[in-house]
Amino acid sequence: MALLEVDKITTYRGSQKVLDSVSFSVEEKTMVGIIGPNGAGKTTIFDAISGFFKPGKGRISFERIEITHFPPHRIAKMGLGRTFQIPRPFKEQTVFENVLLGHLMSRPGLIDPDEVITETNIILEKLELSSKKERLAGELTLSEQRRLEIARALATNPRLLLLDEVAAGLSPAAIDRLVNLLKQLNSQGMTIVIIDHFLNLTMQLASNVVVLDSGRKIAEGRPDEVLNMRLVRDAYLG
Amino acid sequence: MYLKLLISGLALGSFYAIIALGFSMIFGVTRVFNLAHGELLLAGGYVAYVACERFGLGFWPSVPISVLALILLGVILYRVFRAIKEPLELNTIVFTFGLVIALQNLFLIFFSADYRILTTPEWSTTIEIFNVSFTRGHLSMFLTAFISVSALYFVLRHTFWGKALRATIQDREAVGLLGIDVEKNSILAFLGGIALVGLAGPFFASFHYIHPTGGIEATLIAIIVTIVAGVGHVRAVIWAGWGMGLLENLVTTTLGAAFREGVTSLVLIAILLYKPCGLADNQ
Amino acid sequence: MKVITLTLRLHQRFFPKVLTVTGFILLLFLVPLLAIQSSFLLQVLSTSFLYAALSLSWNLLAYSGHISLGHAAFFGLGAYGSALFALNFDTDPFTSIWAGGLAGALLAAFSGILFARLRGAYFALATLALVEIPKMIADNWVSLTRGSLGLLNIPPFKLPLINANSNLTIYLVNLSSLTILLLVVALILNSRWGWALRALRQDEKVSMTIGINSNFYTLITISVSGFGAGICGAIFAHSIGIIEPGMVFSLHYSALPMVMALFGGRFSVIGPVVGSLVLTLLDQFVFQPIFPSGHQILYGLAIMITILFMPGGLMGLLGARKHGITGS
Repeated sequence: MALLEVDKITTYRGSQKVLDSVSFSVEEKTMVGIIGPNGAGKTTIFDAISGFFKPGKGRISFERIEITHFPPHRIAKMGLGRTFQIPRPFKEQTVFENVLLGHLMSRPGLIDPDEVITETNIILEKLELSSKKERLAGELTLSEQRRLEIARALATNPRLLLLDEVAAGLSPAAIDRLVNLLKQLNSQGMTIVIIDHFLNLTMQLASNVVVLDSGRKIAEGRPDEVLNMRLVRDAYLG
Repeated sequence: MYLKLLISGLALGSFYAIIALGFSMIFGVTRVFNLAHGELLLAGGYVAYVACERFGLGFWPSVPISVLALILLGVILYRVFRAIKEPLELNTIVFTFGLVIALQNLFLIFFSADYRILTTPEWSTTIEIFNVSFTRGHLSMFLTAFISVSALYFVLRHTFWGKALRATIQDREAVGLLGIDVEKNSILAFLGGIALVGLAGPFFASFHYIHPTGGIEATLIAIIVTIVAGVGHVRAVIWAGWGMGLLENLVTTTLGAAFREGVTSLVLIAILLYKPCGLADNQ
Repeated sequence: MKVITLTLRLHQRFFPKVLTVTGFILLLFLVPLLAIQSSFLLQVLSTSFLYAALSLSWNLLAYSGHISLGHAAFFGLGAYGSALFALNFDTDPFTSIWAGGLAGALLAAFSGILFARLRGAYFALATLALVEIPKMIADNWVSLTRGSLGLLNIPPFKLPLINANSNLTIYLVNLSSLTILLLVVALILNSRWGWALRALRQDEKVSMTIGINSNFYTLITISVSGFGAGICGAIFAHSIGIIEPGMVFSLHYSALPMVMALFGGRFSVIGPVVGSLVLTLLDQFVFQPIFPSGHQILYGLAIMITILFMPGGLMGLLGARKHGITGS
């Protein structure tokens, strides 16, 4: 079943078309990469999916429910988590509290303090942040902040994760660990969509790749196929 | 009768244009949201008052004194504003709110709550141009506004420094990379804005009574005009200034002075709802 | 509820802090017994309690990141609401102040909805302009409010065994309302609501991606903030007996709660209270004698010093972390 369906999304900024009839779908439990040169509209499509603006035309569906006009918090509660290109932790809170917030806010109703604390610790463990959990989020390194972004999104118990450039700026070793982590999450049932401009992760992880350029989808397919297309290479180099 | 309203409205509007430009210059380059703008205007007014009423100088000599005094104050203020951290707009609006209170009370201490005015009897005399009678006061205001705004317009449009300044308003970082001294631009623009306020101060004190709490009104109008016209758009500021001047005049004559503040506030709220980003869009 | 338990569990040194604050409040209730000589002290403390409560209300909204420069609107409307209710329905203050609070809450909710798209400095500016509207109405709806003549003979507070509106009565009323409000604010800030506010203040966009409904939380927060301010205005009206538009809708009641919250520490629960006590005492006992007419310059200086040198206020200097679950 297609967990996420993006159907002919078109949106303008002033008179310029920022997204032009972009369509793709994401099957459950797969990993999809979104690639393309700068300004292609990759983060914009994420913004549309997570509800930060209403596209001029087109529809977005999550779990067969149309979410095009839903507000962001409602989409988050439905199980769609997201990270940002430049990490945005809650700087005045500790690492632990950041993940805690992810947990607390996405689940209405009564909570069990013990359970919440345990689950938060589990996530911190998974993302290798346990040793830093009492540190203020603003004090972390880039790699750690990236992991915190993921941890916080995970705490909301999502079915689909939108990751925006999680690997940019990381050392090869860190990227390797990230790849393993994502593989692990995916094998446990998580559907993941990754924006990966620098192609650090796509080859190793994605089963399907969508290529955007200047707001349009110019190619889609398996990574090895897509990356060999003349069209795609020109877009990146031209 | 309507003609008289029109003229006095335009004169008032010219005054508003000057102070709005002052606000615009200050905000444009330093991003300081100067809520104490009206109080600075009052300061200029009080300086002119002292020069005229206590030292016996005429109106026109008091103008450069007011400008000078404000510039000196501006140098100190600039140093202080530089120390304020992000988020700048919010922190400076709160900080200058404190400045408002501090200045209001300083005025109270030195001048008490009494209403004061610069007496300029020669301004009530009228001159006839094309069969329309203008008072000397109105003409002085028009002329001053015209000269200063034209000068500013010329500088911004046709000198290198002016162009650099406009570029700085649009994109501070990029301009810095181009080798333009952003810092020097900042302080010059800031002081330029302050000087404009100093210029307007004596007029403020001669057109109506000044008292310690009389500044907020002027600030709100300066903000309205700047938001409507856009930061740094000199010609638009004139039109918007005139618009506000005419509106205020209309309200005062039809509804009465009591409604003036209310109307100004409603206009401000309406503008903010229409343009929630306020001063951010610079096109 | 459970979230409060969780929060308190995470919070270090919670019990000592609560004990200190409780002890201090009990002490304040006993002050009248000790200070019979100085009724001036009682008055000053009363005033500081009123401002503290107003400041706490202001700070609740500020906690979400919305800085209001116009709380006088809610304060003034509370004053008028309560006074008009008491005068027209012939009730005692203890009943009518709730009408005042409700009036403040309604205006606050209305402005929350109206200004929903505004942020930061522009929201602040809008609130500044907001004050003029109820003021204009109070000034001009003469048949209801007697316009600038104001309302007279507003019923005073009467506690058993004590003279109506005596220093002692007003002292106890203000202290009680402060205590209750403090409790309410402490509960809110330590619950899920409080966590949502902290998140919204730091990063609204990200908060929405983890499920926080920004508009909802802003609306309920501003309403409670307006309610608190309204109650304070109401108490003020009944304590003084006479109100007129220029008096209660003045910049003074917008500025002071903000100064006290900022100076005391806007990221902690009792910061505003600390700020009010310190500044009011400084104002009345130090600045007033030196500058009889311009003593309020203290408040202007306090804001400027706070912004420049101590953004976390006094409580921040004492080590309260910005995230504020140091609940004292």
